[in-house]
Amino acid sequence: MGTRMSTDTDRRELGVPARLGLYGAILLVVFAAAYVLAGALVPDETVQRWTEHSAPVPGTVFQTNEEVAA
Amino acid sequence: MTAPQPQAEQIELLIGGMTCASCAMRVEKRLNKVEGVSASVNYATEKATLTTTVPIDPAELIEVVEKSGYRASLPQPPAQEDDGGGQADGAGPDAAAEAELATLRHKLIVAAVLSVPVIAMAMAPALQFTYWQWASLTLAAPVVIWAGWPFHRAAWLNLRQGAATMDTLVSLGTLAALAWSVYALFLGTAGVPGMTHPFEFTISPSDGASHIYLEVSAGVITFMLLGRYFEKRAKRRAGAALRALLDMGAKDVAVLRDGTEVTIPVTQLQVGEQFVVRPGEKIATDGVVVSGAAAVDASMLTGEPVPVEVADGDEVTGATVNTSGHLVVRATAVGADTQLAQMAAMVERAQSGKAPIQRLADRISAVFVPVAIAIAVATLGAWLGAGFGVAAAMTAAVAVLIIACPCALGLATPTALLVGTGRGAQLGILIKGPEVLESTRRSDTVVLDKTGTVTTGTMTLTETITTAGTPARQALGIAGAVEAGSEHPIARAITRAAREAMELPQVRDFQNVAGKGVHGTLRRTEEAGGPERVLVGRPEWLAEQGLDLPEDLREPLAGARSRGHTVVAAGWDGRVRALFVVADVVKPSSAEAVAQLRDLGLTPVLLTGDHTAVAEQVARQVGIDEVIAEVLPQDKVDVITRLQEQGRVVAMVGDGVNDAPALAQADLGMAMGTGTDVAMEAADITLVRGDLRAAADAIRLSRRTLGTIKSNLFWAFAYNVAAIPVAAFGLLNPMLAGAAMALSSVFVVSNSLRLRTFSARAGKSPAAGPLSPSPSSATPARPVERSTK
Repeated sequence: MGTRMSTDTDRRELGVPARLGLYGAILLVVFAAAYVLAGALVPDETVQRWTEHSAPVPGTVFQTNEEVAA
Repeated sequence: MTAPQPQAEQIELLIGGMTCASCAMRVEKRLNKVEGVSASVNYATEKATLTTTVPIDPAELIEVVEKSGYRASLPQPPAQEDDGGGQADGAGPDAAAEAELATLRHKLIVAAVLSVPVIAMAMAPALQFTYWQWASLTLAAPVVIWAGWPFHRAAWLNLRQGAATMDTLVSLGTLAALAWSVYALFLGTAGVPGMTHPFEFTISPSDGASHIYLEVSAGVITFMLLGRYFEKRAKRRAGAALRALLDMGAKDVAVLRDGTEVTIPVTQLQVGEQFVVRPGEKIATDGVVVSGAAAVDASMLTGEPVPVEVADGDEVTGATVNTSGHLVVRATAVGADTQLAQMAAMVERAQSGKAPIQRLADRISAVFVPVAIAIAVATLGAWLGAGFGVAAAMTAAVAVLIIACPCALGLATPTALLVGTGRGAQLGILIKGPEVLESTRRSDTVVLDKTGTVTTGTMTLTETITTAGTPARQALGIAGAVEAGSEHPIARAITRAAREAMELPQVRDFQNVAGKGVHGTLRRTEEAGGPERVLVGRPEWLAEQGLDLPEDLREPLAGARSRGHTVVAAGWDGRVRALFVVADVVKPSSAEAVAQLRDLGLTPVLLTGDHTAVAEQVARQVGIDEVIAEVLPQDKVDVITRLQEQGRVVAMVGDGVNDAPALAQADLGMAMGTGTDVAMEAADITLVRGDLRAAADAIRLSRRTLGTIKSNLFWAFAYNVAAIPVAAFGLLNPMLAGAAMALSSVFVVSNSLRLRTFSARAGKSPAAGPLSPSPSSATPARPVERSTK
C-alpha cells in the first residue's frame, strides 16, 4: 500500500467553521440566483398549467383494491 | 551550555470508530496539532503510533481523539508468554474486529428481512393492500434509523470535520427519503387508505405529497450494509505478521546450570547463560558459540540456502536451525533485543507508517455531495422564484436529494473485489483487500528477491566435471553414495542427482568432517570393483588429505567459482577424480515472468544478500539490468525506502522472513506461497504456487479489478445523475426511483461477474521468446556432464 497517498494534504488550511460558512454562503448565492433566474424565465402560464395537471382532483376518494375489483 | 535533547517517548493508542481512511487522516491531523507530538494513524490496524518529545499524559491524547468523535484507548499489556504464547499481540484488535463484523452481520440480516417486503410492495401494485404504506413505514423505519445508524453517525462526524464521504451521501439520501415519506403519510395524501403506486414509468407532473420513497431508503441502507460487510470481511487481520514471526522462535531451551542440562521456557533464558543446541534443533536466541561446530541453516532469516559453518567464537542467530553438530552457545541477547524481535518491530513500523488510501467512492462523494446539495437548493430557489408553492418546491428539492443517492454505490467496490479476489484465489493469487488495487496501477518498479523467488531456493547439481579416464556417471554414483549419509543441502543435491540416474552402491564407515566434507568406504563386490575409500568435500580439504587436483580440473574449478557457484570435489586412489558444481538455479519461468513485468510497465530490480557475482549472473539469465547485492537482511527495507524516496512506486516480491519488513514497506508487497508464513502475512498479495509469472498475473488481475470498480462507480452514479434533472423538474415518481435503483444494482453485479473471465498466464509451460536466456546460460534440465581429455 502507498506511503504517500493522501488526498487532502493539498487542501488549504481553512478551519471547519470557516469552510462550512463559506459553503453556506455559496448555497445562499445559488438559491438567490436560481430564484431570480426562474422568476425571469418561467412564464406564469407554465406554472398554472403544471399546477392544474398535478393537483389531486377534488372529491376523489381513494378506493381499496377490493372496492376497485367490485 | 546547550539544553539537553528531549527524550522521545513512543505511545501507542487503539483507535475505534473509524469508518474509512479519511477518518484516520483526520485523527492523525488532530493528534499532530498537540504540541510535541508526532502521530501516525493506520486505518487498517486501527492503531495510532505517537512520538512525544514532551512529557504528556496518554489520557490527554485519548481526550483529543474522543473530541474528534472517535474512541481511543491504551493497548492491553501483553499476556505472559508462558501462558500459552503467540496469542498476546494482535489478539485484542482481532477480537474487536470480529465483534464489529458480527454486529454488522446482525444489522444486515435484519435490514434485509425488513427491506424485502417494503421493496416488493412498492414495486408490485398487486401487493399494495389497504394500509400497505403504513406497513412499509413500520418496516422501513427501523432499517433506516437503527440499521443505518453507522452511516448517520459517520456522516455527522464528517460534517463536524467539514468533510463529505459516501456515508454523507447515504445518510442524506435515506433520511431525505424517510422524512419526505413521513411528511407525505401524515400531512400529504399518501397516508389515505387505498393509496397505490401505479406501475408506470411515465415522466409527468404529479402530486409529490402522494408519493412515498420508503423502498429507496430501506433498499439503499441494505445494499450499503451488504457492501460494507463484504469489505470488512476482507480487511486484513492486524498483527498476523507479527504473530507469525514470533511463532518462529524456539519455545524451550536446554540451559546448562551447574553442569547439568535443565529445560526451561525460552522466555526465562538470561543473557550470559549457556545453552545446548543439538542437530535438528532451533537455536534459542542470539549468542556466541562456546564449544562445538555445526552447519547452521539460516535460510529463514537470510534467505540463502547454503548452511553457514560455525565454530568457537562465531555468532549465531536465534530461530535458525542447527543442521549438524553439537553446539554450546552463550546467550548475548534475549526477548526484544534479538534479531527476530527487531525484525518484528521493523514489520510493524512499516505497516504502521503506511498512509491510508482513501476509498474511490469517498473521493467521488467528497465532490458529489456538495454539488447534489447545491442542485437541491437551486431547485428549491427556482421553483419558489417561478411562483410555485412551498410544497411543490420542497417536493422537487427533496426528490433531488433522494435520487442523488446511488443505491449501487455500496456494491460497486465490494462486488468487483469479491469476484476479482475469488477469481484470483482460483488462480492461486490471494489479494488481501481493496487498498491493494490502487497500488498495482501506480507501481513502476518491481524489486525481486533472488533466492526462492527468481531461483528455486534449493541447491541443485548443475555440472559434473571429471578428469581424463573417469566416467562422469561412475563419479556421480560414487559421490552420491558417500554423500547420502550427510544432511547438508549440497550433499543432498548430489545424492538426489545420483539417485535419479542410478542405484547407489552401499557405503560403510561413513564419517562427516564438519565444515570440510565426508568420507566413506564403498562395499566392494567382485562385479563392481572400483575404489574403496572415497572423500567428497572442499577441494582444499581433499588436498590436505593428500588428494591432488589434476591440471585438467583447475580451470573448471576456477571458472565455476568465478561464477559464484559452489564446487565440491570427489577423490579416491590418491587423486581428485571429479568436480561437482552445485548452484541455486533459476526457475524455468523466471525469465518469462520478468519480461511480462516489463510489459506491464514495471522496471525489475534484483535484491539479494548473496554475492554480487552470483546476483549479476542470475540477473543476466532472467533479463534484469539493475542489481542490488550483498544486502544485509535488516537493510532490505532501507533499499525499498530509498527507491521510494526517488519517487518510484515500488512493488516487491519475496518469500523469506528477511523479506517481511521490506514487503510491508513496499507500496505493493507480493509473497511467494512457497515461502514463509511471515512473508505472506506481511505482504498484500500471496502467490500461492510460487511461479513468478503469477506476479504479473496478480498485477493484471488487480488492474482489471480496479478498472471494473471504476466502471461500476461510473454506472452506479450515471443512472442516478441522469435522473437528477427529472427530479429537479418535479417529474420523479417512486417507480422511476426504484427502477434506477434496480438497474444500477443489476448492472454493477453483472459488470463485476465479467471478472470471472480473467485468465492467467502462469502455470503454462514457459514460452521461448526474445528474452529467453541464451543456451549457454540456460538453466539445465539435467546436470551437465563432461570429461576432460
